[in-house]
Amino acid sequence: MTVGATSLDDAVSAVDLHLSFGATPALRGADLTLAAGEVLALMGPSGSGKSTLLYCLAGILRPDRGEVRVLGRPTADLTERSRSELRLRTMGFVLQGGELVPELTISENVALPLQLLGTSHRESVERAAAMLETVGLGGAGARRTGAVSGGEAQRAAVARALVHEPEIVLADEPTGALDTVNGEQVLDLLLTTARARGASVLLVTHDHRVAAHADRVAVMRDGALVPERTT
Amino acid sequence: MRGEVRLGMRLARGSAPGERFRAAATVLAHLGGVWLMLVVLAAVRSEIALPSYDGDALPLLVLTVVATVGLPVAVLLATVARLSAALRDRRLANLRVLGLSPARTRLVGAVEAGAAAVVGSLLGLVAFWVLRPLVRGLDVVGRDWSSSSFSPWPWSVALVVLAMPLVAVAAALAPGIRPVSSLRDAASTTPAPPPGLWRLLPLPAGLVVVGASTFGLERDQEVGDLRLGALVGGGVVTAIGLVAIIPVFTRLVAELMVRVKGGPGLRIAGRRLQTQPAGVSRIVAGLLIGLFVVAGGRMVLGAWEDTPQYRAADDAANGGQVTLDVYVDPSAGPELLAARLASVDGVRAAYPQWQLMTLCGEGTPCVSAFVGTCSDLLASVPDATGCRDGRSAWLDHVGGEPGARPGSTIHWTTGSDDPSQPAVDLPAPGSDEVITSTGLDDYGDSYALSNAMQAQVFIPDDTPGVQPVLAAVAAHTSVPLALEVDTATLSEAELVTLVAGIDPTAQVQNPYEDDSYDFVAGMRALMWGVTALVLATGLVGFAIAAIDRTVSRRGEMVSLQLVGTGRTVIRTAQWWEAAVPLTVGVLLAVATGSAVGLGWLSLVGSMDAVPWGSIAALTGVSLVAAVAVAAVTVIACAPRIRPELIRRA
Amino acid sequence: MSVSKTLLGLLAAEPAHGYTLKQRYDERFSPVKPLAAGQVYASLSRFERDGLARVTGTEEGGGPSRILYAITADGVTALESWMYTPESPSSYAASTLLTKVTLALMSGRDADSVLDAQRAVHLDRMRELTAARGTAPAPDLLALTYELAHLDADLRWIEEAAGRIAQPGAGPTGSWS
Repeated sequence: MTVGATSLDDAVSAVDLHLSFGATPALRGADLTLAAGEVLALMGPSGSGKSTLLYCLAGILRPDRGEVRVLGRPTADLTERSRSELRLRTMGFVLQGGELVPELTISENVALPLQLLGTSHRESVERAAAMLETVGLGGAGARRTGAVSGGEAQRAAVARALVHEPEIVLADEPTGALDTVNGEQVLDLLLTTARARGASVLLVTHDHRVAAHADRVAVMRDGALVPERTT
Repeated sequence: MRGEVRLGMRLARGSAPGERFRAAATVLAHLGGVWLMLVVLAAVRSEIALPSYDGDALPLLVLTVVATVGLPVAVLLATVARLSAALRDRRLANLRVLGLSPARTRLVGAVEAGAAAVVGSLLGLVAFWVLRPLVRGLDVVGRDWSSSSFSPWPWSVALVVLAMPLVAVAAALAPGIRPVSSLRDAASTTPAPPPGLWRLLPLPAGLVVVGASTFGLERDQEVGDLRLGALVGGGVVTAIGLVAIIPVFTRLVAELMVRVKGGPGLRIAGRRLQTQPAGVSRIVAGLLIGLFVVAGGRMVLGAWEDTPQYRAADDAANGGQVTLDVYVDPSAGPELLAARLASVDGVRAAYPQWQLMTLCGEGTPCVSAFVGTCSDLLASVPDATGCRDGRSAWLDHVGGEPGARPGSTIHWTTGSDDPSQPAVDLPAPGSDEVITSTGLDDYGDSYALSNAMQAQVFIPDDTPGVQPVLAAVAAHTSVPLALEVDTATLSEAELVTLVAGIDPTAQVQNPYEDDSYDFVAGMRALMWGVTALVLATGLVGFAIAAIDRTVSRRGEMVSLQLVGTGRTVIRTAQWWEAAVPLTVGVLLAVATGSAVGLGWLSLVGSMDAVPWGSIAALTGVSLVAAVAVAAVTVIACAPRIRPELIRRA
Repeated sequence: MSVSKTLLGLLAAEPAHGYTLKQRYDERFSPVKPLAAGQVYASLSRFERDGLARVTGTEEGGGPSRILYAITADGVTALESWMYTPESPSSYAASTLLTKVTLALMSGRDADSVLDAQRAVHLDRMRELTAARGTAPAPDLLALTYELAHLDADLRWIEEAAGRIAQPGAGPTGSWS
């Protein structure tokens, strides 16, 4: 698939993104397309702009120039509120530290996106419990975030990312803080569950072994994508 | 909406012991803060109901007291609201990543911050009403409020109960929802941008304006609105400058600490202060403004204490010597009463204050004369010199009025121009015949004798021709009896009873009696009360914030210890980090507040009555309290190495 | 590892005599086991015959060691096509990759592209192996994870090299002073 050509099937796409933090340029004309149902790994040295690109796709950062489309819709004209709502509805996140809310229990954390979307309390709890079963944390729902291991917390993060059936999952170094065995398990879980639900996954990572699980690998350098080989 | 509210309340409740503690601390802080503000408001309302308060200045007074106590309370509540701030900000930023819009996230944050605060505030209101009978009956610094209803104005109650939670919410939300790109950043350890040097300007600028307002003021010159405005304006700018300058000061001290060869403890403290100077100063600001106002207020109070009324009343209340006038019926014969009273224990002297007057008409001079003996005069003004029995003399100053100066003949009368009344013509005293004393008035002039004797000339009572005129005076007017009473032996009340026993028609009056004594005493009590409150809330807030920061740095502390840094070094660093801003701040606040207050004293010409003692006491107490609080933070700062702390380190 | 291509690459950096060429090769690519002089001269004449290099001068003294060779346009094409075509991801890929990157840096060419191309190919192979891991029987699993580990190591070096190249003043340059 050539970069730059977007089709209606694309989950999310970026065309010619430019973004600078003050005087420091982070993105210099980055183009990326995540097709529907695809698992795409985004690699690159630190400082290449991988996370920045991810946050732009998520609508958290606004690019200085360029276009971002989510499910075919351009997001440039959306207000902060609309972009937040879009993100809540269509995206799930697995971040390096898990970033679960410490004050809530595991099950409350997993149910959070549903509750924020207005789902009834009962239904949220049920779906969260089901999700926890899927990731192998069936009995751990009532535990506090501080009382689970790193691997278990990341699994809960995976559950939270998928509980509301988003079309897109954005993962930023999801196994970065875990040892190899745990990391493999969490990654497997994430990709299997996402694929089963037909979600697209953007996987930002510096680990080749993680990238090897993806359908496609894109490499970033100095704020732009390295052109893919056409073979 | 419901989701956000629910989430906010759930977050407020927390689930770990640490989070529960934070919620409890918030409730308690608001309970205490609201209770305190309501007590202060009730106390102020009761005070101003007392008759001794001057109507004009009242609203300003109420406002000042409430603001002076309210500010540290608000800072305390804001501090509690910001406990574990870094973590909570991060958590709110997480919610933004999930897809919560800024407005919704702020709602969650507001509910979280406000829930415990509202509960605490309402409990504070309840506590006030429950404890009211107790507080009312207390004897606080000599003020008795039991006769008043001891309740704050209703509108003020509503204001306090509403405002306190708002302070908490504002403080919790203040830094804004952090941009998510910082989600993965640990708490910043890069030095904050150095505080701008502009911060150094307002303080000296304000002081210069205050100084300028007092410059070139002539004696006796009326203090115009311009000068007054300059003083007040300069004072406000100085206060702002005080708060603004603390980060710069702290940073300067931090730089010094880092460079000086004082050992690792000093250097660590210096680095930490370099990184976060503003954080410390926010907390200290409330305390400092309070001290500034209190110091300035104490100085201003000195002006009141400088009046003769106050001094006399102060003497009377504290066992000094007091001058009283006893008004006797003409027929009763003042000499007899005087003689009888003179023999009473505690009465140092009693003599009739005979007076002769000139006619005080057009073309005639207007002077009065005291007729008596030198011993009478000395009883009232002990340091008078130049009095000689048998020789008339000027009191304090040689007269200069035409018809009443050396060389003229003064026509002394009973005060009435009725030609049938006796009168006597006497030569005026010579220019070298003057009785003086050392007491000076506000403007540096000596009028002690004239004031005490209510006359400008002294005439010995055995001067020929005088007695008939005095007899005529006695026949028509009530002659005042001057009494010098030693109130340590004989109180004013006892004297009144005594005199009534001898002559029921006699009236005892204190010529200096004035409500102002009560007022000033009340104000002083108020000042000390406010000081205590300001210090308490400000320092407690500082301690809480310092300990919270320490707790969140626990990991760093353990790492340092693992690497071999002794606990002593860590404690030393904490000591410097806490003690320096506090002591510097306290000294600066008291000094600048006193300076502005001195400006006021200079304008009203009361530079003699500067209450250095009170100011020194204020400084001493504040420093001791500050050092004590710094010591508390030191004790809390170096945790023992525990396994779970190592894991996180 | 292709000796002749390496020699061609050295020639691309700078025209040289056979003797100098051998010296540079030994210094940079084979310090322990020097190249046979005969192999150098043979390669050079083959280049000339195939049009990949041409003679630009001779010096007195005669003999093959004094003939100056320079690379031709065809030679450059051949070199670049070798340089930018990634090796198949086997155990021998690493040392060839190192040579290519070194030569690229020496002759002022785009070393990043060399690394990028190889990385892509390596990743493709890693993906194949990772996908196969799920269903592989136990004995094959060992070989699989062995190869994965080596691919990972190579990829790690690629990232490191890319990082170093990005810094100014990195890597060998073409000029020998």
